[in-house]
Amino acid sequence: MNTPQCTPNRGLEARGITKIFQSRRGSATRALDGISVTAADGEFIAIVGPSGCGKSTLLHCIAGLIELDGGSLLLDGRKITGPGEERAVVFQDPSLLPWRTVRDNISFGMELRRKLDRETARERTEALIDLVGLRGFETHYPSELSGGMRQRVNLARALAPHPRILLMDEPFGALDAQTREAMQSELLTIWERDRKTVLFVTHDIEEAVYLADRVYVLSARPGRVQQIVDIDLKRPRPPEIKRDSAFTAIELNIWKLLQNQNAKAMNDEHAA
Amino acid sequence: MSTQLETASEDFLAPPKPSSTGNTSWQRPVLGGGFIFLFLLTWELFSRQGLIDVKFGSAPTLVVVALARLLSDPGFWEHLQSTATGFFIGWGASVIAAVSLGVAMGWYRLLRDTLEPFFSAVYAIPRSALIPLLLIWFGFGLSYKVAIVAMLAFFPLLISTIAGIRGTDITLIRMAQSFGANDRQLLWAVALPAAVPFILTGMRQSAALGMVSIIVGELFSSSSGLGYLISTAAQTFQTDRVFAVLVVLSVLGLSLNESLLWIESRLVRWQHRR
Repeated sequence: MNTPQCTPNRGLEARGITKIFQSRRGSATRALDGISVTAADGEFIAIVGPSGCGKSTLLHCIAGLIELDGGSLLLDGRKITGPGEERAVVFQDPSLLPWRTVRDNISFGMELRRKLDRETARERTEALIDLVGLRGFETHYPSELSGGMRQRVNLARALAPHPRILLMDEPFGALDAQTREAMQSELLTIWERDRKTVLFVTHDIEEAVYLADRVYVLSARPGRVQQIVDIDLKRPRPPEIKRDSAFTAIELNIWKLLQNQNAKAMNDEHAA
Repeated sequence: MSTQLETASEDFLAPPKPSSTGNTSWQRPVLGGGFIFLFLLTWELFSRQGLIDVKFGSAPTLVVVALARLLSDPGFWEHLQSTATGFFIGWGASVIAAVSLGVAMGWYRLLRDTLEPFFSAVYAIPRSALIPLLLIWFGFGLSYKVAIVAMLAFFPLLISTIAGIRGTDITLIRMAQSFGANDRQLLWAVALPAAVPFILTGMRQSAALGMVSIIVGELFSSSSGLGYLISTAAQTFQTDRVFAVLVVLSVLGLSLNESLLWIESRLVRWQHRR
């Protein structure tokens, strides 16, 4: 367990993020209520919460895709707004361009940024095709790929412009159990190599504990940070670690926190 | 690459299997061709038995004779050329106008709000009712034909282009924005390619409508073209000749549609290849 820690000198800080959605009838829903998340350089942060607590909204806010109704985003202590090249998003839906091949989808982000010369972009694309294990499929179209392969392209596309921070929005949520486990260890392998900062939203507690250095547990709507749990498991973490008693104890702990939240959410729904 | 990656990949890196197609490739040509043959045979028999008056209903063999005579007449090729020229100029113009305007209207809200009410009002008019006006404006030469085709082919393509641009998947827009795409990049790199299948389908629909409209225009008032041929043949009760021109029109329509379908399948390979 942990209490909010001090602001890191280098890294990402989301301070008091608040988001209010206006319905068409004029009623307002407070989706996020003063959420603060900090991620020092190289940290792997997971964000879990009951469904509808605004996890994805929080990530989109941090990505600069949604305007904030309160709070601010700081990078190395400086305020940032809108999408920036230091952040890249791995979306829940693979959101690949169906008319582009695997190779051209991976290079899409670099093309938009226009910071790299053609040769460098090409080299990076080829390296990423190997990294995510899609060699042999580089000329395939998304419609010819399996769900797991599409998410690999999604990940490679985000990695291509060399962002400092990866924002991952339940990227493995739609995959079957085996593919998901394989993708998790693959992600960790990639992460161990260059230790990017990762913010990883998921509803899967096991996934959060397995991947993260720190897990933010959000409360039911309006989303608030309910608890921050440090995961003191040593790295690298083999998949077998999920059966360790230390691992399952942390998992159970977070599960209980979420159970309370789910019960509260149900009551609120009945009351409404 | 780590060994972990490689072992993992064996399990789930297989691409989805192509959907199985039953062994029915013979069905369409055999049944479809058989039906056409049966139709012609019945027609021929009915005419020979006197159940159909050949003066009005002709007969397949008579149509074949008329068709042979028609194709060997140099005048026919001039009429064909007149119709084809009017069609391609008019259709080409409407494709350029409808696609560029449709893309702009689909992307820019301001332009859509400004122009859509006007176009909806014009669209509500049965557009062949405007033919007499076009006749006044353009006389009955080539420019009249071009105008008719352009006007009738314009709307379906405009509508499907707008729909294609507006229907762009919002998750793709979000994705591109996360990489810092500006408005122009969103249009050119995301919305426009996403609209291509809609534009191609619209082009096919507008070509079909353009064909209809040029023939109607020529029937209505003209001194050349396939529509004119039909109308003069009908006025002199040459039903064999009318049917012969109809056969030509059917062949032209089919080949136009098939070639556009072929272009479509080449351009949107990413959609069809599965």
